[in-house]
Amino acid sequence: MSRITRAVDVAIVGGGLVGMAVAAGLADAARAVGATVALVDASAWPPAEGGRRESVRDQAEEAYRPESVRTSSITPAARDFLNSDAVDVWRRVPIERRTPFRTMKVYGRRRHPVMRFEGRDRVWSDEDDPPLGWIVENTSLLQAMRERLLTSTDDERAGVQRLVGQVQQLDWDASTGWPLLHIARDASTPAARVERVAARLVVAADGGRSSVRRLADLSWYTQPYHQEAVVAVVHTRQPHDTAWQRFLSTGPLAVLPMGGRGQCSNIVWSTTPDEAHWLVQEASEAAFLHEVNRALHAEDAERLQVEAPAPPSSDWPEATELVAPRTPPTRAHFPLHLGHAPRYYRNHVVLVGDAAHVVHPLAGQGVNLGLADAESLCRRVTAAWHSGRDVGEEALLAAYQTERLPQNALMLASLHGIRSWFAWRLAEDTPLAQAADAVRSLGMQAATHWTPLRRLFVQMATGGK
Amino acid sequence: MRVHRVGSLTRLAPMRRAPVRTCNPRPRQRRRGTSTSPPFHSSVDAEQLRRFDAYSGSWWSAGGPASLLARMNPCRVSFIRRCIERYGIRPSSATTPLDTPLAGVRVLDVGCGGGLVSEPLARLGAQVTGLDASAEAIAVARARQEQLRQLVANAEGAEVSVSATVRRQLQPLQYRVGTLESYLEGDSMASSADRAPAPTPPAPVDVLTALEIVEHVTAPRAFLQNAARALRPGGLLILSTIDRSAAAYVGGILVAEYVLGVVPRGTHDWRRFIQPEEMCEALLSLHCAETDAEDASGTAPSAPRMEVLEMAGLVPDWRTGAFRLSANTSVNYILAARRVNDFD
Ligand SMILES: Cc1cc2nc3c(=O)[nH]c(=O)nc-3n(C[C@H](O)[C@H](O)[C@H](O)COP(=O)(O)OP(=O)(O)OC[C@H]3O[C@@H](n4cnc5c(N)ncnc54)[C@H](O)[C@@H]3O)c2cc1C
Repeated sequence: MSRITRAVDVAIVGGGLVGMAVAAGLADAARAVGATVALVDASAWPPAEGGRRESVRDQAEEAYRPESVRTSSITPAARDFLNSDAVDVWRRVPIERRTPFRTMKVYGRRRHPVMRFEGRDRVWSDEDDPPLGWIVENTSLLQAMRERLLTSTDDERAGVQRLVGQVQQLDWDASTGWPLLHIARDASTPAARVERVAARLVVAADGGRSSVRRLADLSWYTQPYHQEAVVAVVHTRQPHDTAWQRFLSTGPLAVLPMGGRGQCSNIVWSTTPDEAHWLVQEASEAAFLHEVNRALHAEDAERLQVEAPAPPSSDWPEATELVAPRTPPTRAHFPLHLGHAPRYYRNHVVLVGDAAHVVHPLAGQGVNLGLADAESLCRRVTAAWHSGRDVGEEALLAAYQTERLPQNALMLASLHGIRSWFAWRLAEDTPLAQAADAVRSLGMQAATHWTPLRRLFVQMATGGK
Repeated sequence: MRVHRVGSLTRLAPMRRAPVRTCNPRPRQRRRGTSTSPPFHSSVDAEQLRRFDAYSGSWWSAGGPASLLARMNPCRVSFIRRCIERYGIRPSSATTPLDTPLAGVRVLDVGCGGGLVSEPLARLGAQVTGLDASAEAIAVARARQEQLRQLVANAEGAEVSVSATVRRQLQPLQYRVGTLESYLEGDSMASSADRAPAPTPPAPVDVLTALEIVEHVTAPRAFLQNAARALRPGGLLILSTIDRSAAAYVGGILVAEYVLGVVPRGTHDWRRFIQPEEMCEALLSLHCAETDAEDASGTAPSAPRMEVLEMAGLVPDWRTGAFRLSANTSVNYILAARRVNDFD
């Protein structure tokens, strides 16, 4: 048996949005019962910047500038979790970095019909004029989470311990069955400097390519989408508070309001790897904007047109300028794939967030599913701590899986279905293709005008809150 | 959470039971086969003891005979914790450190088995002594301690790096082989085959837990009296057991032992189950009754007076398999009683 350097109650691997949310959600409960949580992440936190926030605020008055091109759309359900007393992160996100949207407009290959979903469709909500969601900058949300954890780690006795390094190896103590994490900066770190952390429970929040999942021998189903997501921030001709999405046969293109009042927009465009490469690496700024506007406004997006058509009316978004965020790059692309673990736990190791499921970004659900995982797990671990229970107990993890797996699988399948529905394309202009278009249009009209169906969509898209 | 307050029930109970035998000693039940029982007077049934010895390998295995107890555990421990908080059991000297909900509370866990309840209470900060007549069960519980100690032995140099829940589980938690009687005599079954000379009586405890144990003892009344004696005045007795009801017969024996097989056959004898009213009545009249001990020395000091504080049922949720507290006490129930302060 190897010597350990630490024994903790919960070790969270991965300091992404989901891992940090788990840490924030457990911090107070851990302190209340004297339990210890370790948070392992490859990158060190940037040094705390005193005074910087003030200057950010001052600048915000003059000109808003995004932190980076990465944003997440946060559903009301996820917002409630981030805003809960235990997690207490939401209020720390500067207001100009979480932009509400009250309308969602979705259309397909043809410019008509446009499906329209409103905050009003959240009939179960008790807010007046409830938003459908918020577009939140990933960097700001992470920063808010770090701030939250810093306020709770000043107590030496308990709380969240931060460990910088990567998980190199995972094994289990033969007699107690506790997992042992070997953490080092890289594989060449001398053995004496490797941290060996024994934990009652290991939470794998290390993303879609989770190494903990592989080390714990949990299986993974994956399928590439042969698509890449292009992300950038643009200025639009007019501020807006609508999340726009057009489904092209090469993939969906979203225009999401940012900057607090929608003075900027986040472009998330899933398309073929070739086009993505061209858009990010080769296209000039003007060519990029032209391409975005053409893809948004063309009457029939499948027909090649050289000229960008004018937007049908002034409330449609029109990209006018690329915005350089504080942290480069200005444009980025990410390969997309679908992934799911058929089982979320094994031998005191449990999967959360992208380590358990990777979905298509088309409805902006990735982080939200992960935050719902975090909520469920935090609730169960907290209850277990208060009754002195061992948090690595299989029954606890089984209950977590029973709650989360069906919901995640349903969302995964629905997003896959929606993508296929819009990507469904037959040979040009054959009667069959026209019939397919007609069916698609009918489906979209139903989703807009048939209230129960529309509410069902909204309920799914907002996490039922 | 609805909790059945017991006040009215206990006042009613003696009226509903036909003979009110409040201040009469209970007729002794002599069981055959006592020759195999331990050399001193004990409420432990030797046959039951052999059965528990045989289970001991599986105290902590999922799906083993104790898995039903494991599923009851979170709500049993929550009940205990809540009663400790509600009835002000924590010593006021403990400056309520945030990190130890049960800091400074001395608990005697009678019939601790593999440590299913002792461990969680220790993790919450209580100073727990686990007591069980089965040497095998105690060996299992101690082995778990030893494994954990081994695991963190190397990290001990750097104190801060071992979670407080681990340290608490290791330091104040002790296990002893013995019965409640031998414990009171200050003696341990393992250390002495015969009567040890001049044993020191143990310090009274704040809380005595006897979970799923009274249905296995031969003389429940004597057991309760001894439990009361082990408590400090104002201390809490937490007791859980099974009602002698048709529902308990069907659910606790037919279904659990024969249909589902989640409890080994022969674990329970329906005739030994005690109805909640009988239990309350017995607790309220403890101080009136003489002890069951047939000591030549005559009457032992009378048992302390007890009051019953609250009672709740434990019912399984068929969807999740976990138990929760409910007002339905017709199968499993848990109650809290307090040793009345001597000056009251
Ligand atoms: C283009 C794009 C747009 C998206 N838009 C949205 C959106 O609008 N809304 C939405 O909800 N979701 C969106 N998503 C999905 C969302 O980004 C992910 O679901 C989310 O980031 C997953 O968070 P996570 O914490 O599970 O994993 P990650 O963010 O991947 O974090 C994993 C962390 O683990 C660390 N790590 C990895 N391996 C190790 C190791 N061995 N040891 C230690 N640390 C390790 C990494 O450093 C990293 O910090 C989008 C995704 C893409 C690609």
